[in-house]
Amino acid sequence: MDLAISIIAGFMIFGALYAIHARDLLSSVIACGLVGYSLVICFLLLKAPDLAIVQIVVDTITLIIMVAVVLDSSREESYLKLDTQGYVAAVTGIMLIVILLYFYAISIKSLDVLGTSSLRMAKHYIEGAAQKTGSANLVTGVVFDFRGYDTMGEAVVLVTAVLGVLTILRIKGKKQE
Amino acid sequence: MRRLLRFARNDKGNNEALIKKRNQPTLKFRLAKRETTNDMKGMTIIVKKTTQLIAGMIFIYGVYVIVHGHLTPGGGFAGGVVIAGSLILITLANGGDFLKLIKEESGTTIVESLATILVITIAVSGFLFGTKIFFNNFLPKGIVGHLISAGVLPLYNIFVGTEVAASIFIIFLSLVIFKEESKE
Repeated sequence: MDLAISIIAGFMIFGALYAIHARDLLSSVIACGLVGYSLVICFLLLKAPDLAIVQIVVDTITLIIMVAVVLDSSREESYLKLDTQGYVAAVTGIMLIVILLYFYAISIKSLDVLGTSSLRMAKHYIEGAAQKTGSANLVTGVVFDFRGYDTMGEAVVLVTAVLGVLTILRIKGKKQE
Repeated sequence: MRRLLRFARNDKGNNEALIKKRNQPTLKFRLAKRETTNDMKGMTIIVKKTTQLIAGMIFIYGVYVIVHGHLTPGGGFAGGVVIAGSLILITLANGGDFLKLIKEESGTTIVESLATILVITIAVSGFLFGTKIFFNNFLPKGIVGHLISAGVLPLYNIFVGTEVAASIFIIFLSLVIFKEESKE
């Protein structure tokens, strides 16, 4: 399974790189879809069907909206010339990547194997969660019962995002001022 | 064959004039067709009929995913996005009038706000039933694995599902509506 996941991760890296460097914006959007759908297969291999369902539907809808935006605006990417600010940003990015990879290489030795945990709370959640919450699906039990605050926060975040979209995109209100 | 040859000979003489005569009406027709597609008149009749068949099934599947959220994989978020997908499919295929879309947008805004308020109301209503815990599961839990079980969790699933469906549909509708507004 590790081999399969690493092959799919390679696909995702390829899709992300192609999405950055493609000249046609429509093909770069479709390459973004390649990244999303390989993530779906990763979730299925790691036995997380809840996440896989959410990812596959959200990715499809995002792809529809992105394709509509690309078809309405322009299909060609506008290139910017690199000035001093751009060089500074590129060097900073490369340095950050090197530092992060260094600390990742140090810290990965002390991490657990994927799927096991050393936390006390995780064991406490899994043991007898069906009796405590009464739901056969452990994810729903954790999301709505043990971590109810998180879910409420997510719902409020969605409302705030919609308010932001409506505020930014409105046009009639701007003209009246 | 002879007729064809004659036709070809006749054509050679005034070729350009013929092409001009043929092209003028077709060009007008093409322009008119493009204007109608830009005004959100929807897609072809094949797409419309297929949407009528499929959209209801997708909607019911979303409701199934939400209602069985505490038994099978899925839940409020996944089912809500599926329902929003079916509504987006209908809007994309049928187009619909501009005024109708504005009415739908105000309706979905109200639904979304109501669902969010209901989630918080259920969370608070645990205070009324004795224990002083936010997000308390105060209803009887029933037998694990039955459809009506797990106390408050199915209600949370339903309200979060409606909230997610409404909010994603609002984002899509607002993109369509504000694009139409910017043309005027």
